[in-house]
Order: sequence, then structure tokens, then C-alpha cells
Amino acid sequence: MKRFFGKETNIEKYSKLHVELVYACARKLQDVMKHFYEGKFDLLDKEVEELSRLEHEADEIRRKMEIEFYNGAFLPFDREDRIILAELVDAVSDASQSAAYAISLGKINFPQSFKEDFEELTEKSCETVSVLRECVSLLDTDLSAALVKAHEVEAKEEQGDIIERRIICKLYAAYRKKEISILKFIELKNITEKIGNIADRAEDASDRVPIIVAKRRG
Amino acid sequence: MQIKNGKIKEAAHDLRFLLNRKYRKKNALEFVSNKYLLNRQERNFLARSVFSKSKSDERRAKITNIDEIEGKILIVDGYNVLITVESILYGDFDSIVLCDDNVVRDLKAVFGKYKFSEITEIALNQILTLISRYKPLNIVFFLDNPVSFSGKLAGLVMDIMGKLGLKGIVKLSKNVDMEIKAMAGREDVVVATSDSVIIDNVNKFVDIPSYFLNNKN
Repeated sequence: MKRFFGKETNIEKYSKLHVELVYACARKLQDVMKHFYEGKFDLLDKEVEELSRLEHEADEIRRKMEIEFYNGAFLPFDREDRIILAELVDAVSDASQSAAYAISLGKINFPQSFKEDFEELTEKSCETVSVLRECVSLLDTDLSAALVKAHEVEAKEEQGDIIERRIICKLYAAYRKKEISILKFIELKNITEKIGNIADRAEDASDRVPIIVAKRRG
Repeated sequence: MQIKNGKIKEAAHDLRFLLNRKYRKKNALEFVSNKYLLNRQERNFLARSVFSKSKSDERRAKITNIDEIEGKILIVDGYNVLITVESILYGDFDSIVLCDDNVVRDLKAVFGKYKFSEITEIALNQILTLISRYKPLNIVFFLDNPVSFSGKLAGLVMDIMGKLGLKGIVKLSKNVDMEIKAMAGREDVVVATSDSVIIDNVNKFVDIPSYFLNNKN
């Protein structure tokens, strides 16, 4: 693997740590969901607190990274792109946190007939963030591989969209058949969209990667 | 709005005639407006208040008395109801029209430029107090997300609902019309709106501003 700046810089370290924390937020959401399915709201709230801590930590790392960008060896055009990328990656953890808060505030009894669907959607969003994590890590070592991963993020996000649409259709059907109340329907639809939004934000971040690759290859 | 203007009355008569003859509204409106040399405001008045007899009859049949919301889910088309009630409370009757389909509409069309004002809280209080008298099971109060201050308004609606003991939620949405239409399919749902597109797609609706207008008169 080619390393562009010889040894690993602080920025590379922060960048990897940042995207790891963002990924940890998405994974933590899976723990939140487990308690949500079981209706264990005390445990759920503890996981939400932990997710918030991770999100805050990711914010701190991003700030440190941004300071390094101004001090470091990056060329001005690359610096701008990397700062934008860091902000876009950060939006992924914000999306995880937003989904967790929606679940925690709603505190609705989860209808078990939707469990598999929500597990699938959450897993797909996590997978998308996982690929984004690989993509960002590769930016400093292998641009071609990073580009391939960026396209993979897009594909995963599309798969997530399909699951999201399927769940929303199923929610509407359950609501019309009066299997779920209107308030539960709205809460679950909102949560579905928020979980789907995690992959959407990951895709937004990955969309920046081809720009960085193109500029670096000049 | 010069509603009593003879020219507009005649134009409305002609437009109604053409619509009853199944002419397309867009073409008929343009034809009639050009004949009577109507300005933009007058065209807007005709577009929003004149309908064919069959369309008016169809919508009138869907109008539900407010006491029928008891024990039902009430979906409120928030800005649509709020803006019209605000105009009525302001006494801005120039823009308020009782349309062919017996629905009260505000023709100002300030929707995109809506501003939170000193009357907003009063209007919301009065709307939700009126609703609370008829004890709906749940309320879903929709607000358009892209409109300024929708977040602030959502908080205010939740506060008032809490004080009045109303059960429900405020939903910010980018596509209120579509969401209301999709949720209105159940027989235990009543929609509060004057939006023609929504009315044409729901089973029944309640015209909340008409209750304020009747009290004013």
C-alpha cells in the first residue's frame, strides 16, 4: 500500500479514530434497538447515553482534526475537501444519535411483527457505515480502493432504501388494518426514516470521496 | 378582494357554467379571466372558490360536523387551518371566502411567507380549545417543515395540547398533503382542512375556520 505522506500523520490517526467512533455510534444503535424490541426502556436509556458519549467524543476528535488540518502538510484544496468530508462523516453519528433519541423519547411498545424488518434495516445502515469507515481509511493509502468502497457505500444505501420503503408500506398496511394506533404508526415511521437516514448520511460522505480522489490524481 | 364586484360575479357564473360542461379548469379559467380582463388576485379568487356543481356536491357530502370528532382520530392540516383562523381573528374578512363547496378559505395564500405573529398563540389556543370540547381520541397536528418557525410552532402546539389534556402529537413533514392523504384511509379518522386536493382524497373532513366565522358573524 502506498502511503502518501510516508509515516502516518496525526490527521490520519484522528481521521481513522473519528470514523471508528462514528461507526461505534451506529453499532451502539443496534444495542439500543435490542432493548427497544424487548421494551426495556431503562437499559435502552443507558445505551442512548453511551451513544451520546461516543457522538460527543467523535465531535471532539473532529475538532482536533480540523485544527491539525490548518497546521499540517495538506495543500489548501485538499484541506477544504478533508474538512468537508470530516463534517459529512460526523453527520452520520448525528443521525445515529437522532434515531436513538427518537426511540428513547417515544417509548412505545414495539410490535414484534416488525422486529425482523427493523433488525434488517439497522444492520444495513451499520453495514453502510462500516464500508464508509473502510473507504475513509483507504483515502490515505489507496485511492483506487477508496473509490471502489465509495461506490459500495452507495450500493448499500440503495439496499437500505428498499428495506426502508418496504417497512413504511408495511406500517401503512398495519395502520389501515388497525393493528397499530396512529401514534405508534407515526413514531415507528419516524424511527424507520431516522435509521434509514444514517445510511443516507453515509452516502453523502462517500460522495465527497471521488472529488478528493480526482483532485489528488490531478 | 372585490368579491361583490359585478365583473367577478359574472366571471364566476361563466366559469361555473364551463366547469359544469366539463371544461378543464385551467383552460376555462384562462378563457374567462381573459374575457373579463381579471388581474392576478381576481384570477386567484376564481381558481380557489369556483367549482363545478358535481365537485361542490361531492365535497359538501364529506363535510362533517365538529361533534363527530368525538372518540376519533383528528388529523389537522396545521398551517391551512391556522392561517385562515388567524385572518378571521384579525378581522381580515376581505380574504376570507365561503366557496362553492361550502368550505371557508383564505385567499391570501401567504402559506410560503407565513410569519409567527402576536395572534398566532391566540389562534392556536382557540383552535385547540374548540377541538378539546369535542374530545377526539388522538390529534395529529401536521406542520410543514420547510415553513419558517415550524419548530417553534410545534413546541407551542404541544404545550397547548398538554395544558388542554389533549392526547396527540405534532408532526413536522416535508409533504403534509401526501402524508394526510395516506393516513386518512381509516373510517375513524377525520381531517381538518380546507385544501381541495386533500378533501378530494379523504372520506370526511371538518371545516374548523367556519366555526370561528359563524361566531364572528
